[in-house]
Amino acid sequence: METMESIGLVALQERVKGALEDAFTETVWLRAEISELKQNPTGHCYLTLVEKDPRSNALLARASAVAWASSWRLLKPYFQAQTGRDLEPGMAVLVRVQVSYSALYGLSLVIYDIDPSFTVGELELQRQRTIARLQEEGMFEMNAQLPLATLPRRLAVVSSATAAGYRDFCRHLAENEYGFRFSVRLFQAVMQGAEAPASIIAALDAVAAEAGAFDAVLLLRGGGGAMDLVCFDDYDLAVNVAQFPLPVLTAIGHDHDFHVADMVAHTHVKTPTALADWLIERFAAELWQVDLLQQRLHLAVRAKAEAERGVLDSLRLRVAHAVARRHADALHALDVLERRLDAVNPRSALDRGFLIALKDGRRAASASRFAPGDRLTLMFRDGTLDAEVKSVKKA
Amino acid sequence: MEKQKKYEEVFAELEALVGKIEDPERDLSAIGADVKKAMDLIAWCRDYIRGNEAKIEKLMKEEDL
Repeated sequence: METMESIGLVALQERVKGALEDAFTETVWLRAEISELKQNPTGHCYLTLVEKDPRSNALLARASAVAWASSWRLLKPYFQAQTGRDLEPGMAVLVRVQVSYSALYGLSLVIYDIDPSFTVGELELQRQRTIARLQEEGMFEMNAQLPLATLPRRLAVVSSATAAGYRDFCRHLAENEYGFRFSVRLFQAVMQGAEAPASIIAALDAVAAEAGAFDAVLLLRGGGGAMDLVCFDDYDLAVNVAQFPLPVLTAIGHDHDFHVADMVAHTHVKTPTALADWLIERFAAELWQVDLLQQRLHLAVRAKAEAERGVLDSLRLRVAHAVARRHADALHALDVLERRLDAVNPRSALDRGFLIALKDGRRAASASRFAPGDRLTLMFRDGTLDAEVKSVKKA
Repeated sequence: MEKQKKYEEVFAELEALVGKIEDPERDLSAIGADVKKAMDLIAWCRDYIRGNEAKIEKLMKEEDL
């Protein structure tokens, strides 16, 4: 049997260690994603760093890393102060590491420094990629196309019971000046950090199981650091919001915040208090519509009553005119009769200078009724005289 | 959703009724019943918007809405 050249495991590990130390004489800046992070009681922080395929998300590389307590107690608050967020799994980081190798523990990366701005930038890039992907998949209009009830009163709220935003929302809604009543049911969820997307999706699933009991679902989260709210840019959460069977109304963070979840929601309002106002205004607008109809109704009834009164006034006027006309006609007829009577009245003849001859007290209109020696009475306008006939001459 | 749909139906009925009452061809004597019905629907809508469930149910029974 031929004797083969061989070395022991320690010697081999020494050669690997030597090769690595020759290759990495200085520290290097390393881009990676945190897969696991654990701080032990002695203050050291142990991490697993990974790199994934950006398209398939398949794991391409993995390495253990450690930030010794002396470094970790500086790096942790520094990162938190710069980003407003703790280092956590799922986060992309740029860390300065020293490659080291141990015969017992293998390859290890010792972390000495971290660049928080890289993490912020990476998150923004990730956000843009998420937006582009959702646009390609046609998710942006899906939830917005759902009809929202005219009066969304039965509200499923996904939030945290202790969140100031949720309490503000409930108080604002309950104290509305119109006295509108709403039904609010809370579905608790973690509203920040790496656990938030899965927690919110679970809460949404619980709402979806009773979708018929609600008019809309509300995602509420009060103010927070930009990094606290990164979870609302999560792709899976956005897909769940877009495809949710009820309209999703979001109010996440401050006035200036605008997240991917807001983009795919049915309606986005800046803050939880503003969302309460938005709902109250929706009800107030409806009440105004009803008031408007009542005004139209009153005007229509009044217009008809006035029209009826106008018709009655017109009829009364016509009756008054008719009566007046009949009265005037009657007066005129009397006048004519009076004039005709006047014409045949003997007194009128006397007034005009004529005489009336009376024989034996009766009017004698012919000379033939007289003979010489007859006595007669002559009537004048202003008196009578007795006379005797001397002679009669006929015409 | 049934109650919301009901509200929208009642509002549409109210709107149509007011339009009918506004018709200049119809005189005062012909709109009495419609005005009464419209006033009842207005009261119903107001209570519904305010969320006064007890009043809504009472009105629904009375008016057979």
